[in-house]
Amino acid sequence: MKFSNKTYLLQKKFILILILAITSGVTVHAQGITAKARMDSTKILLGDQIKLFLEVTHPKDVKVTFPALNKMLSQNLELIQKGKVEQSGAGNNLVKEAIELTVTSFDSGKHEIPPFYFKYSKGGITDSVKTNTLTLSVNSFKIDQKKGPTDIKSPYSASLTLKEILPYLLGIILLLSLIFFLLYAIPRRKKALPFLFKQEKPLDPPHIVALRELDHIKEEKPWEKEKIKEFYTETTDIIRNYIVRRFGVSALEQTSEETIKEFRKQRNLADEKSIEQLEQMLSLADLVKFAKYTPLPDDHTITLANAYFFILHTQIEEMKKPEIPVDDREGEEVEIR
Amino acid sequence: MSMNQDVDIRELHERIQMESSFVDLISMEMNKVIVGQKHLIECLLIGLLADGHILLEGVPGLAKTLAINSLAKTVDAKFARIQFTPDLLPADLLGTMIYSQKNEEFVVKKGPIFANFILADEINRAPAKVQSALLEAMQERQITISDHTYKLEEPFLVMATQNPIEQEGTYPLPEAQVDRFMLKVVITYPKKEEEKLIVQQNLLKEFPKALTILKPEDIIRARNIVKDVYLDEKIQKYIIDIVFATRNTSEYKLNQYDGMISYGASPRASICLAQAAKAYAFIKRRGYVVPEDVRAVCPEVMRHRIGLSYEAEANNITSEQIISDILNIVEVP
Repeated sequence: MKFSNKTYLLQKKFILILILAITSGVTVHAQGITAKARMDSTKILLGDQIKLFLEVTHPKDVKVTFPALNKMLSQNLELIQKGKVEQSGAGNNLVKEAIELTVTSFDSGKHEIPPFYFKYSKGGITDSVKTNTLTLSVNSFKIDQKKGPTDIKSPYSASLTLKEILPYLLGIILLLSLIFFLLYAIPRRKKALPFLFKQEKPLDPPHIVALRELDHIKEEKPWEKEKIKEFYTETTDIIRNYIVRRFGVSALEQTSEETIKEFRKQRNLADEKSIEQLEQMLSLADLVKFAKYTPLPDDHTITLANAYFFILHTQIEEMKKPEIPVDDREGEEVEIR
Repeated sequence: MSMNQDVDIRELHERIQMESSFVDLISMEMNKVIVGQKHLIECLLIGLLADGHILLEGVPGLAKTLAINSLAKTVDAKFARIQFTPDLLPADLLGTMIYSQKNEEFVVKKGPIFANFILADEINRAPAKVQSALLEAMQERQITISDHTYKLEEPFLVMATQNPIEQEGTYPLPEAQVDRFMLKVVITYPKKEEEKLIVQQNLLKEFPKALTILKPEDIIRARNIVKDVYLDEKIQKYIIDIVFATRNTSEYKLNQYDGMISYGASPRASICLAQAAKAYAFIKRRGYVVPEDVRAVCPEVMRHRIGLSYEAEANNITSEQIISDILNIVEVP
């Protein structure tokens, strides 16, 4: 088969162009500056989003300007989000700059993404370098003809956040508090009961406690059961405890002599007669307790009498509530002038 | 009033009234020489009667040595004063074997410790081996020289002095050895009036002297009566409570002293507290011990038996302060 010279030249030109196109199909070089475009997927469903990366590698002394990006990158490709330009070293005094774009398409078919142009200036010369072209296949949904028309799918429900629940939660707490107040607190308040805890039983006044304990000893009569030392110990303990609560004098940690000294020092605590009786009682008790002294039978009654006397003469009188005069004229009309 | 028969306190009371008359005489004689320091004299008497050694502490010039000297003079007994110095040797204190050329044999040369009353002046100036020799004699009441053991004569009472300042070049007594002293008496400065009297007394032509009024047998007899002084079980419990409070402060609501006491009082403290309380009751002419007696002797018996931690020392807490708080918190029977 023979070819004409013109045809041969055309064929040679075509092969040359083809070789050039193959060798420079992915990256475009210009004076050591290369630009590249790539996608994380070449096939998407209608409306799906993909990442499109634009990268340029250039010497450090070359200033490269990224292409201006519109909302529509091409007729069918829409820009959703644009990332920041990130820079990294690429070796041999080269710098690699890249930007990440989120794109989508709402038209099915095979779309060609045109090359992007990076402008650069080097040695007073301004030129540009372009990226490779890309092809994106956008597939539409397959419609099941047999099923017929279906409803539009409702939106997916997102998980609830605390911020969304909080008003409802507070409302429930408020409601429960109100119920608690109505059912528990109000009736307790009406009965004068404490709100949450059991009310502590108020301590009886010191003289009531002391007199009650002395009455108990009087009934028991321990001296008749040969428990003389116990009787004097218990009686003095009652008096010492009474002194602690009534006068705030730490009689339990003091000796009899120290307690009497304290009473004589603070004359306002008790009258002289009471102090004398206290002294008599404590001194006798000390003899019984520490000196194995056996008192006479009369001493027991005297000690008990002294104890009663001391308490009755030094007790704090309870404040009686003043009687409110009753108005007998109930129902009568009173003229107010 | 009738007294219980198994411990005849009435009889004891009468005996005490009779036998304790010398207490006033000793006090009188000592007051001739010592102005003020009533508490010191009382403590010396307690030591004498309770058979307990005494450690006196006070700055120089407070009549520590004079007081002990005077007490020794009131009793017709052997008295020896040993000035403790850094070069003192145990043999200087206890005695040694000396070769007698006349008899051509080694004979025992007894040291000054063979006396009834020993005044160990500035005990902390002698090295540990001398202190140890003395303290061993105090405890054992016997001395061994070569192969022979010699019992020390009764009454045997050691009264040691030390001053709290000038600590340089001293050998502080170890805790275990301090514990062997029944009482540690701390002497303070006299009052203005007392000091005036001291000056007047020292300007006299002749310094007053204490007279000898007692014999060693009188002391031994008094000591036996002191041993008979009745100490009720309630008082014993009170003593034990006080001692235990030094060992376990939190149990006695003394939480402020948690970690402040490195070691509490020993059982020897309980024994000494009981003995000293009995002696105090005797001085007060009583045949039985009352809580007041325990409280009166407690600081002197306990102060050297409580070990303070570094934390306590950093917080300026003293053993006296701890004892005072213990007495204020432990329930009196």
